[in-house]
Order: sequence, then C-alpha cells, then structure tokens
Amino acid sequence: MRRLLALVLIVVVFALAVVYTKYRSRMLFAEIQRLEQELDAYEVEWGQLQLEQNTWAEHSRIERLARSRLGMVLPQRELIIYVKP
Amino acid sequence: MMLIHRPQLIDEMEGAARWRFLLILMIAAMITLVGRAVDLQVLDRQFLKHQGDMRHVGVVPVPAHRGRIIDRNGELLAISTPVKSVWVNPKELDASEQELKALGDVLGLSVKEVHKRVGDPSRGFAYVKRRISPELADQAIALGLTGVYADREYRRYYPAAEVTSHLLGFTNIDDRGQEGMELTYNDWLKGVQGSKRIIRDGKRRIIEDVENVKPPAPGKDLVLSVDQRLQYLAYRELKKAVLQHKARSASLVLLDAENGEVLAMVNQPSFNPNSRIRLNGSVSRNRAITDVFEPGSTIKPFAVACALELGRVRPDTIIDTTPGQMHVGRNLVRDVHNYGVLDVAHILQKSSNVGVTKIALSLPSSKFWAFYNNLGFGQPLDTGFPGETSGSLSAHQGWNSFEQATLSFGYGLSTSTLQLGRAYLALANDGVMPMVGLLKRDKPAESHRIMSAKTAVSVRTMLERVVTREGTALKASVPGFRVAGKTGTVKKTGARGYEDSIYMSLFAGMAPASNPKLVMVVAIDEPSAGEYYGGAVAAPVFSSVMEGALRLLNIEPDQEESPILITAHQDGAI
Repeated sequence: MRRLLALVLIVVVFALAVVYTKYRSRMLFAEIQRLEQELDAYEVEWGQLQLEQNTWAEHSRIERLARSRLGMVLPQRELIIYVKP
Repeated sequence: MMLIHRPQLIDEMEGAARWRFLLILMIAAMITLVGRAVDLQVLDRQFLKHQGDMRHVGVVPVPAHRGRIIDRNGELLAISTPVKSVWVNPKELDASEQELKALGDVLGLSVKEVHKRVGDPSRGFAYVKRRISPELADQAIALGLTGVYADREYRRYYPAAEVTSHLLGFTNIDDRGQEGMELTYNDWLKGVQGSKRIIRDGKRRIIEDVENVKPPAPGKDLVLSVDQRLQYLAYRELKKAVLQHKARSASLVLLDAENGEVLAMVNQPSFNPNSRIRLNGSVSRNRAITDVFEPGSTIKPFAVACALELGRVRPDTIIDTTPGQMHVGRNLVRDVHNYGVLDVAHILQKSSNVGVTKIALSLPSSKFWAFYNNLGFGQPLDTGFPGETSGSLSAHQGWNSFEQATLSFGYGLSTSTLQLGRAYLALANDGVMPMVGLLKRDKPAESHRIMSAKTAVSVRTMLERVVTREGTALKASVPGFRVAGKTGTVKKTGARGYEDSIYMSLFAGMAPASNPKLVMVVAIDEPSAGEYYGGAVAAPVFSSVMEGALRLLNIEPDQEESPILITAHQDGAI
C-alpha cells in the first residue's frame, strides 16, 4: 500500500514537472518571438542605415560637394611632388 | 390478505426482471461507450490526431535573407532589406466600403484598385500590395480588418543603380536572380528558407507560433572584383562620350594587369535596376561580355608579336608599304595614306594595313592561328556570366592568303570587349596571360605564358609610340604616365556587307607602360556626330578614366618629370 502511494506521489510530481516545463517552453518561445521581432526591426533599420550611408557617401555627391562647397580642385601634374621612399 | 399480497409478489418478480433488463442495457451502453472511447483514444488515435493537426497546426515558411553583393573594398552594391507584403483572404474579408477606403488610403491605393484586387470572393488569397515598408504594413494591419494579413519578404536594393546594373543583374519579385551575377551566383547568395509550426483557429487565422522547425539560413555575401570608385568614374566618362558622339552603345572594361581581375565594367545604354518598368535586352545586356565585334586594328600588336616571337621580323625590320595598297589574291588591302618605307614599330604607330599584311603573310598559318587561339580569341572567358560569348576564330585549315591578311588587321574574327582586354593582359604582363574573373581573388589567378617577356616588352615599347603626336592616339595620353595602346576604327557589317559610314571606335591600352598595372578597352559603337576614329572617340575616354584610376589606386608615375618641371619653372619665372 505504501509503495503504491509512493508511486502515485512520484507520478503526480512528474506530471507537475511536465506541466511546468511545457509552461517554461511556451514562455521561452514567446520570448524568442519577441526578440525575433526586435531583431527584425533592427534588421530593417540596419538595411536602411546602410542604404542611407551609401547615398550620402555616393561618389558623385562627394565630388560635387568637394568642388562646390569646399572649392577643391584636382592638382595639376606640375603641382604634385612625389616623395620617393 | 393473501389476495392482496400475491399480486405484489408478482409485481416484485416483474420488477426484478425489468431491473435486470435495464441493468444489462446500461452495461451494454457503457461497454459500447468505453469501447468507442478505446477505439478513438487508442486504436484510431494516430489517424485522428493527424486529422486534428491538419486542421489546426500548420507549418509556414520563414523567408531567408539574401546575401549582399559588395565590391572589393567592401562598398555595398546590392542589399536585401525586409519589407512586408499585405494580402487578404477575400473569403474572410467582411469590410464596409469605408473600411476598404481606409485600407486603400494607408496603402496608397484608390478604392477602385482595392476592389479590383480583393473583389473575387472565390479566391482564398490575393495580394493587395507587395513589398512596402514594414511600418506601412503594420498600419494596415492595425486597422483590424478580418482577413487582412501581412507577410515578411525581402526587397533588393542597388545603391549604385545604373552604374553597376549590367554587372550585377537583378532579382525577380521572389528574390531569385534573373540576370548577371545575381543569376550566376544565385545559389551562393540565396539563403535557405526556414519553417515554423503555428496553430490556427477555426477561421484559419494564426493564433500562436508553436516552435521553430528549422531556422532560416541567410545567404552568403558575394565579393566582386570591381572597385566601386572606378566603376563610377568609368560609367560617367563613357556616358559623357556616348552623348557627345551620339553613339548607339558603348562598353568599357578595366582590368588589373597582374591577376586579371575586372576592376570596372560598364556599358551604355544602362538602366536602373531599382525600378525596371520598361526593360528590354538592348539596355539590360552586359555588352562587354555578351556582344562581339571585329577588333580591327586593335589586333595588330598580336600579329606583330607573333612575327617577333617566331623570329620572322625584328622591331627595326624595314618593310616597304608603297604605294599604300597591295593585292592579296583578288582583294585589295589599303592604307589611309601611302606611308612609304616603315620599320615594324612605325607600322604599328601609323596602323598600316599593308605593312601588317606583309608581316602576317610571312607567317605559317598554323602558328599564326595557334598564337591567336592561345590569346583567347574564339575561346570562352569562363567567368560563368550568363550570355557570355566566346567570339569566333575560324580554323586555319580553311584560310586563304586574304583571310590570313584580314586576321592581321582584325577582320574575319570576332571578340567581346572583355576578351580583347584579356588578350592585352598578355602584353601588359610580360607575356603571361592570367584568367579574367569577376570575383575578388585571394591568390594569383591561373595564367599561361603566351609569348616571351622580350616580345611583350618590345611590342609594348612600340605601342607607346602610338600614344604620341606622330601616332594615332595622342588623346589617350595621361599626364605623368607612359601609356601604351592601340586604336581601332572598324567598319561595321550591314545588310550589304561592310558599310561605308558605320563604324566602331576602339581603344585598347595599358598604363604605366614601364610596368603596366591596368589594362583598359573602350569600345564605342556607331558614333554619329562626325568623328569616328578610335583615336578621336575612344582614346579620350581611355585617357580620362585611366588618369582617375591611376590616381585613385595610388600608382606611381613613370614618366620622366624633367620636361614638365622645366615648363613649370619657366611659368614661375615669367
């Protein structure tokens, strides 16, 4: 009789453990979902930032700004002194 | 009393029988129920569970990120960013006119368009709008209409747009490569779709993500050999030349002389891969690889190199080209002027057809053919690029003397711009021709020796004299650098054989000539604004692109500085 009781007790404990693990896994999965969404959002932002950086750093734009705003010019060949090592 | 008791007894007896009957009935019912329960729970369990899951649990794909394409310095050329596509299930959709209008407003569609897209109630799926920003899609979902969903997808962006469009190609709406490198390396770039298990409710709406079955594996990045800065420079200069000379099309390739990497490859006309509304083969083709032409005079250095290699001539061998024309078989080979007596170097400088014909006719045809063949004419490029052409070079067994002569000045064979560039690599690289490639290389490419270093250097020295006041391509010169190259002005074939006034202007060259680092070929098709000589149309493009490229790549000038320094001093003194 006592052994039977002990077995029942063990079964109950395990049943609760199963319920708990299932619950934990649900919670963790929800957490994953949330983090994945966050990651998605960052991915979107990162892509957009890369594109934005690319647009700002576009060669035609840099050249135009260098010439117009900074007044830079390509030096003539005569104006370049090459330092030989 | 007995009379009274008797019927009672009978009643009791009858009651017991009924009772038993009922009991049996109930036990039978219970056994049936239990049996059915066992049947459902134990015997048919698998089948039923499966059926249930089929109705509630589903596996949906999770799209994977496509790899980026970057240039040799890590600059971004193509990138996929997440977007969302809004779709509806018209069977479920139960929205008032006002709600549909709100949906249309968010997505930038008129009510009529929305109706057109979701109007057919027999369908279970219809896209409302694909590939919009995630925020916009979230707004549409936030309207709370039943039967409206948003899925994640990826959209490809090409920051450099027209400048790299031919090389990169593009992807279709399902993010699969359709052209160019996107197609060639689709398997490398594409990710592997993942999947996740979800639970749906009775209306098939997704109510819960259960687990990830397989996480999506993102695609790998592709590193090209091109340099975005040079690509941009080449694109700008080529476009300028095409507009100036009213040309039909043009291509330019810039190669690293030592390991054959393609540093820039541009074509005209071009297209914007980010919004391809009207796209046809004539603008989307990467002409530098897919189109062939007869190389004309740009091939002459190789005929001369072959003769030098076989010891038939020396750079100072004298050849008489008077009277500026000669008969070969029943045909006539002509020069622009009568150049009189020339040595081999001057034949190249003046681009004399008669001179080079005389040299070519002194060569055994099998050796001559083998030399061209080794230089890759008529041979595949092995870049793997879709639509790549091998050009053509006919077998020498069928040659008559006129065919051999035409091959020496570049008719009767065809080549693509990149193939011509590859052949020039052999001259630039002291006789060793590396394989050309469109991907960045970590180790030196496979290469083959085509001619001796002595021959290559000797031809290069001759080609330097082309880019002088006496030569045909002064306009190809680059201040501070020695340039070697050759012009070509090729008559194009029309319906009635070679046309008189339709030309292709070519320039192929390298710099710095003392130790070439860069090889470039410029091909401008049908310039129609008056000028058509290679030295006037293609050479200036070579000069400006080469000048910029040498500066950007920090290549040291190799020209003697003294004459320029003197002028500078004089200017200063005055």
